[in-house]
Amino acid sequence: MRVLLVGSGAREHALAKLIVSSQNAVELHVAADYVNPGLKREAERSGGRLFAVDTNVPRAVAGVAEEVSPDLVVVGPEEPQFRGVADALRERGFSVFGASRACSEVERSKVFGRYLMWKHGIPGRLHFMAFRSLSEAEEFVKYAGDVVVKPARQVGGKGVRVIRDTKAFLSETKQQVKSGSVLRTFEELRSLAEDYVVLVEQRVEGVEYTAQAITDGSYVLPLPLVQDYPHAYELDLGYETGGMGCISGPGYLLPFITRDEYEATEKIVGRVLEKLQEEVGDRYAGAFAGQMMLTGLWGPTVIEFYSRFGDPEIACLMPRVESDFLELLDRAARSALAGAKLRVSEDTVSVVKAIAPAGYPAFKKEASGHPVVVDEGRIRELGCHLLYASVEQGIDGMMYTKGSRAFEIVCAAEDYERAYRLAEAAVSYVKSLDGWPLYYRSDIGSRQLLEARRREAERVRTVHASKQARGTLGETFTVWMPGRGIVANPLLSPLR
Amino acid sequence: MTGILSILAFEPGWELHRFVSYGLEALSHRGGSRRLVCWRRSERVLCGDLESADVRGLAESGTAIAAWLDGRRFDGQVIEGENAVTLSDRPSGLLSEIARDVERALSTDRPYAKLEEELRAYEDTSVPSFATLTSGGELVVWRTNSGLTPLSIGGYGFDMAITSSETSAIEMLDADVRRHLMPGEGVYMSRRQVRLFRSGASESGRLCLFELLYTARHDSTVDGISVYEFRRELGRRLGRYLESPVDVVTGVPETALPYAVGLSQAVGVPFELGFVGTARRERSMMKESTRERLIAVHLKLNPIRRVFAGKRVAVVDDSMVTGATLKTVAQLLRYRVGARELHVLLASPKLVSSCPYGVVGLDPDSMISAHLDVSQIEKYLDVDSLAWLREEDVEFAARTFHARFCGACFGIDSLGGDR
Ligand SMILES: Nc1ncnc2c1ncn2[C@@H]1O[C@H](COP(=O)(O)OP(=O)(O)OP(=O)(O)O)[C@@H](O)[C@H]1O
Repeated sequence: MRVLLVGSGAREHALAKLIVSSQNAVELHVAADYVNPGLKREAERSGGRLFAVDTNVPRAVAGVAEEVSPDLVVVGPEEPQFRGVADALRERGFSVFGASRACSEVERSKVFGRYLMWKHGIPGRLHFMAFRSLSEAEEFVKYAGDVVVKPARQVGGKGVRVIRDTKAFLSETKQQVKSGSVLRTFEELRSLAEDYVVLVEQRVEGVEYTAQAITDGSYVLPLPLVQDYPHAYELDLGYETGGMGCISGPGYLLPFITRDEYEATEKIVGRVLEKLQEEVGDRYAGAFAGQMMLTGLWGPTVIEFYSRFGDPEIACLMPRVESDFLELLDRAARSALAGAKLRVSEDTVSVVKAIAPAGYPAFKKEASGHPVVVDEGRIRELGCHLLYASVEQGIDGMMYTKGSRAFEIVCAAEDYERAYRLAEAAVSYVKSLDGWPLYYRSDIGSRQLLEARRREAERVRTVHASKQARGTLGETFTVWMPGRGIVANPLLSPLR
Repeated sequence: MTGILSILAFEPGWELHRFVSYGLEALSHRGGSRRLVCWRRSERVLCGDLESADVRGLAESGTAIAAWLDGRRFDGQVIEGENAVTLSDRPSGLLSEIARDVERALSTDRPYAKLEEELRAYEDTSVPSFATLTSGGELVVWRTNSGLTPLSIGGYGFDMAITSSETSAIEMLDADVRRHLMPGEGVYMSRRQVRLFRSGASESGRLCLFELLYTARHDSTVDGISVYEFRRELGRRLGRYLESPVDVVTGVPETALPYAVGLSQAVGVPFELGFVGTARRERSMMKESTRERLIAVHLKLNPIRRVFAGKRVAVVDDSMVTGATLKTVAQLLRYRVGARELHVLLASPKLVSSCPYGVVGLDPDSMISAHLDVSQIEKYLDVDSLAWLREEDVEFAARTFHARFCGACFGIDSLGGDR
């Protein structure tokens, strides 16, 4: 089977590994924005090649497809989906796994995803306000309370400000920060004049996890849950990143998520997929995911949607998948997913750690252009995998950082203690050659962090149970104002 | 000994002045009389009293360290180096040396690794925990192996990291507590990296017992131990020493209340609030002179008469230094209110010597239990009975809460831990 994979990073590297491990003979070709050494190797080993093209240009990708004539095209990242790459390929008669432009709107526009949930009364929805006009947004945040300010469209894991505002004595400075963040987002996204720019959303607390699925539009095949770690630094400190690592298992659950919570999550994912297709009038064939949080407000709550596999989430599943993954992708693309089963190794868990150059994510220029080496043999000896992310092969044959997460280490074992130890050992085989520091999060997969998540889950579960018993799920009561009654809008500050 | 605080804002636009101000407020019970804050400004670190600090400068700096200074001797508590300032929670003759070593480590290209190496030398040396801020915006916070006082790290969204002597300050700043630094553990932070490191951690790393007995707030978590639960547990142990029947259990505010709750629960006698204070709450033991201490004691103790009149009363306090507080309590209850019997229980062993590490500023000459025997003190206080917890009780608590304490001022070298 000839496959063309579109995309350049670690997610695609994980997909490439899953694809080439198929029982069928596979010839893998890759259309990538730069020469990712990992993708290049996977392609060449299977008898295919890597094409360096701008993957956001539908015509360019279609050109590669025409040259390769693949039986299946897999579109990995969201940006090409937003630009209509999957549509252009389908128009030319290719069988494609990957959301169409219309379907990927659910990720591109955070407003659309939320609108769908409200319109159809899907549980796990958060209050929000979206703004096209700077002056309206500025006026609104003056009165906003405990909220999150985000860009209204997907801009690749940045720009989200979680401004917990529960202490009146700090509220003034928080209001200034919210205003500053609104202003900055408008400046950065100015080009999107017609669209919503800023989203102000109810802040929630709890334990995050990702629920991914594969669908052919009518049949939804859920994948095991994954927990991803968005903070750049140890102890969940610092910047929002695309994800510094993740864990998965045992089975389909996580150690701090119950079967009931998992099932409630799958229900949300299924309903969103159904309503999304109705709304846009298009079939969804590809990967879909809910970035979830277990909260006291709702139990499973939607933070956002992905119209693709998560990165690094898919890496976490890679070593645990036992089925022929390519076959599933292919059946989803051909609307033949019904009856398909995914087998994952029930009794293993996995730990993924991203390794990034210092300076990522706030100072990407500084973080770029540093030569790095990896002792892959040693990593393999440990039974772990190495995924190439934002690294490029230079003309001198050396590998250079491109400013983002450079590698992902993937380790699976029978329990977290072992998987953690393997991952910690494996990261030491990635080195920088010019002394520029590389960093990773040593807490991911550790017992302490798992316990902290478990405690947090217990706390929100108690809140959830009491809200459920009193019939107030999803509801917040911000303040009672004498003469005006209860303000139930959680976006408003009790102070202003 | 005082409290220290440090803040790193990853994102711009935060008015750090307010955070420092409320953070220090939440640490004010730890003592000190001046609030010093340091921030960076065009390749330099500037320091000043919080009242007159440059609010704009602090906001632009994005990082700050701050401490309560022990008025009399702040020399050894603040070290202004070439490119960095170091603040500690108590004065130490060695601080300038360690500050120099930190600065040297930071000037290399692998600062956290270097820090680990350089700081190892201080494993068995008594140096207080400290925070260093460099002109490049790097922060180093180390709980020295022998520092005896706690430090915790907190986070606020994607925006801030905070370290503080106590968790209560982190929570008051609307942030989440993420970890307690244990003896020998430290953190290196800048906008470009955050690294935990560990240096010179050993068996000799302990926590000052006084921290849990008296210094920390009830709402803090020290080294993972809930201060309130620890105190209540020791209060329960006091039940073994109450030999006469009583009608009511009360505690000397503010610190002793959880102990009294524990005793009440252990013996099944109701706990009652006994006193109401006048003027703002102050920690009497932290006061410098006898006169100031007495003023503080007298201000915080007006008895609720109906609770005590004609009753047999168990009065709990955390510890006894000169006995002045308990003397005041006893006189009020016996003569002004007319309590029938007074049984005093102390939720710590007898204080017998000064703190060799300068953590607790106690003068052995003023320790009544180091000079008089029990019956003499009973007579002096005019109470019917008087009892202290024993070493074995604190040892029990140390084991229950998995802690390793220094109890030098109680004449106990080391408590708990894996011995
Ligand atoms: N309403 C909310 N309440 C609390 N935290 C939130 C909320 N919304 C977002 N966050 C936090 O911010 C992170 C990023 O938010 P979100 O997923 O919406 O942004 P993104 O930039 O699209 O991220 P990515 O695509 O990398 O997942 C979340 O993982 C969560 O930690």
